[in-house]
Amino acid sequence: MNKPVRAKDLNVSQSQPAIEIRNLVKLYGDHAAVDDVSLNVDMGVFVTLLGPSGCGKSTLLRSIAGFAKPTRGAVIVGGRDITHELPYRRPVSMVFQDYALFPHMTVRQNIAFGCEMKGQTKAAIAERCRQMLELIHLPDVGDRYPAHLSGGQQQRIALARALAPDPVLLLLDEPLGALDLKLRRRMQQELKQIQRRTGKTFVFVTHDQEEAMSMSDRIAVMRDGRIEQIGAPEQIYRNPATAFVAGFIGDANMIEARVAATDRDMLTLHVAGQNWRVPAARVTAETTPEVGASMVVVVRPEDMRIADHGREGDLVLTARLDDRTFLGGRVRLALTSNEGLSLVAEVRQQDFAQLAERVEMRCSPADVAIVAAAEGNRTNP
Amino acid sequence: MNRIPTAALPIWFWLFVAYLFLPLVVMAAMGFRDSNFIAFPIQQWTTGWYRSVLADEEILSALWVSAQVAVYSTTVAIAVGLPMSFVFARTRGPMRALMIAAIVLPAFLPVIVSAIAIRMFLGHLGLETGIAAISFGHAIGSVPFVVIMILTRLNAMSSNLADAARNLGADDVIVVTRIVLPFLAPALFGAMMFCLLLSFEDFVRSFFLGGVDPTFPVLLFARLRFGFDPGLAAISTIVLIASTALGLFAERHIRRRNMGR
Amino acid sequence: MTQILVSARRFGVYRNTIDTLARVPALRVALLAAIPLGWIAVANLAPLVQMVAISFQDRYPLPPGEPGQWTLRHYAAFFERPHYLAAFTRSFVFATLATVLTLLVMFPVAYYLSKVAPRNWRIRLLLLVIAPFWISEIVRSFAWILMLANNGAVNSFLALLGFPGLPLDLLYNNISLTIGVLYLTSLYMLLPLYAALEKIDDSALEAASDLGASPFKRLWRIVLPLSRDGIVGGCTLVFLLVIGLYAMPQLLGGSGNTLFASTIGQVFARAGNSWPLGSAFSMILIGVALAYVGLFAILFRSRGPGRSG
Repeated sequence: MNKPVRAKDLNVSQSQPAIEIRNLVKLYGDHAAVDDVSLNVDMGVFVTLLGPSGCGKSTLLRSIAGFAKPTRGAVIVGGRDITHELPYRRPVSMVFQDYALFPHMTVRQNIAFGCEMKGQTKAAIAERCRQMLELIHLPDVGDRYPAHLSGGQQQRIALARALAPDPVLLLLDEPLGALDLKLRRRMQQELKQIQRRTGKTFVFVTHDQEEAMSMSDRIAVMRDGRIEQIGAPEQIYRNPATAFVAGFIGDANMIEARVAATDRDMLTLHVAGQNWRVPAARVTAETTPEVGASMVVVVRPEDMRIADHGREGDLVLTARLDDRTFLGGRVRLALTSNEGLSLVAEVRQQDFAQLAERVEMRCSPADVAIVAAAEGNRTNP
Repeated sequence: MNRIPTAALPIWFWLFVAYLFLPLVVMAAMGFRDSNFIAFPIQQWTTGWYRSVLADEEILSALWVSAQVAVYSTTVAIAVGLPMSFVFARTRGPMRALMIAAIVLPAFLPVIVSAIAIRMFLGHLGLETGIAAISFGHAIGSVPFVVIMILTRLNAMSSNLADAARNLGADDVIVVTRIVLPFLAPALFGAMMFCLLLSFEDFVRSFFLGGVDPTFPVLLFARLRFGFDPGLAAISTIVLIASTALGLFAERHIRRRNMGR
Repeated sequence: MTQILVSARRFGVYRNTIDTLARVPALRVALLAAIPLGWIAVANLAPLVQMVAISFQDRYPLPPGEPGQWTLRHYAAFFERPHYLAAFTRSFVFATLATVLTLLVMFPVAYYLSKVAPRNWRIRLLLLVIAPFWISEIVRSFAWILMLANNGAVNSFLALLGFPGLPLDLLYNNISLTIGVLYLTSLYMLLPLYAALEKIDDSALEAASDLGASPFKRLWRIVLPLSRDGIVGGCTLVFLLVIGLYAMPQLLGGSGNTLFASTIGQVFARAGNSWPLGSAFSMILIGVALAYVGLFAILFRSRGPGRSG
């Protein structure tokens, strides 16, 4: 019958997705924890499921691992439909948030466990353990017990244990959540390096957008059981598809606007008492908005300028400077515009003004993203 | 700080320790008295009693009965308590509360009532009193403690542990034998020791469910009603030291294993 | 071992069995629950149910072929003889007093162990005190007989000091019984108290004394309310233990004041139609004792934790 699939057994081209999720739905009673999610991830890609807690990212991950039974839809890993496969026959490995290392086994026994379950020979298992310990730069801890290791070391052991049986897919459920900030930064880099070196497909779950931005090849932003947007980190940051994504990823000034007129490639917005023309290409939604539609102009703080040397076509907002914070090379300003909007800007050192002074803030039409206003007024402008 | 209670507390504590141990020391000493009667002060000392009780057929056979009962009842209590703990760890709701109430019920009944109820029940079924009956009775008394001890440990186990093993390819049989049981080992060991000692010291159940062969506490009770001799003090001291040593050993062992990992 | 289990999965029957169990959690729970449920039914419930039934039977065991007759006369018998009622009342009074006494003696001990004793000594001292936990009721009684008998340790010691009027009659009365019972119950009280007191944050106590609370006030307003669970737990355990004591009263107590547990034992030991009467008495004991303990627990717990502040 069907044996567990190993990556090297799979005669797959790089173009075939490592995992394909088709219209997955997971209901708990009436509540849809995962609501019609489809996702393709190519081999060797580091993809992150990002979203606030309760957005369904963990449930999605557990559905892939087989711990949650999907209500509808399909999960295909390495070309094989595993939607109804038992957890212990799936070619996927998982790294748990609390590591779930077996406390009564040594590090080596922990790492060997997955290989043992595949009935590999003792020699092969020993060799694999050695490789794995080498990979995580902890060659000498094999005979220690997990409780005697630090959090960061345990985290790496958990990773090695999951990688040892050579899974098609590695699932990571907020694996860095328990670490302190400094260690977290270091582990982010190390995790990324290990992913590159092994060439494995990683599906990483986190609610920390900075973490997602620094590690991922692709990010899927989730909310209320749905994927709001999938793309490379830069793309999501620059061209957020929705107001939610814009607000969740990085800092953003969200300025309400109304569509006053549309022509072929330009859009006239009524914003902050002005009519402002922006390229229609800056609208990140799939459909061009109609006249009268409520929109939100997303401006990143670093795209705000204090400058008299403005360019033609800039949006100009007069604002009072409330507070400023030094960030080394840059200064972060908190402002309130004449229209009562709270604004954040990051500017170069020499640009800042005096507190309580009125300044003209500018942003260029090329630097903004226009998204549809959130239904139900969810976003905080 | 206030001086009065802080000074009085240690004194009170050590008085209590004296109260605990003085009678035991007196009993141990009485076993060395070179006379057929219990009396103080002890003028002449002998180790004769300690030697002779260990040759006393009746006492040895009672100890053997006690040991058998302890092993049987412990085996049954673990065999019942372990799956019961698994069930409780997985179920929720009112059904579970009812079951837990039914399980701990024996711990809340006066022992004499529960012993007699079992006696009548076995009689109704036409079963004899004796070692099997005592073991059954002891197991009933032990199961609540087994369940509580195992359940406590089971609740300390991350639910991810079993999932992690499944994720690595372990089926449920392997999850139980390689992950769950080893994880429970300290609690299982503790529960076993607890059951053994609980069974060994029990009197009431053994008394009402016993047949011709008495357990050690029952034999001691019978002999005490006829009169005392230093030999009884000697054997009581031996049993006391053995069970205390076993209890302390178990305690130490569990503490170390729980902390070590 | 693991290798065998892994290889066993090549066999279809085994493989299908574990897969089916994994796919149907309800089946797994049902299989697992079979033994416990059977045990509860046979070991915990059936004997009690049978006892209840027998207590309402006119006679038991019945001669073959004779139909049973339901009656309340065994319950009535309890109220008809002052002898029974007296033993019953004595049991409850004695158990209550013994519980209160145990609490009074053990609370300072538990408090010392959990809060006052040097930190690195606490566990060792606790072990010292619970070491005699595993001594049987009979051996404990015997040890106190040796202490209190006419030619026992206490009388001999007093004689050594030249006390007049020896030997004192220390054994076979309520005092010797109380001493012995306390010897038995102390640890059942200590463990719950210790567990509860240990959980109290030291800083709460320090804060109280910083605010100028007197030691007595601190005990009354902070320590007692916070250790309420331990007190209720310990008292429940001890009370139920004492109310069911059978051997110790016979060994250490006086012959004139039998406790109710002994009465039940005697009734059962009696020849003839004794089971229904003994069962009825058992039911009365269980019912009243559990109601008593339950009432105590409810009264003590109902003042929610918020009130202590």
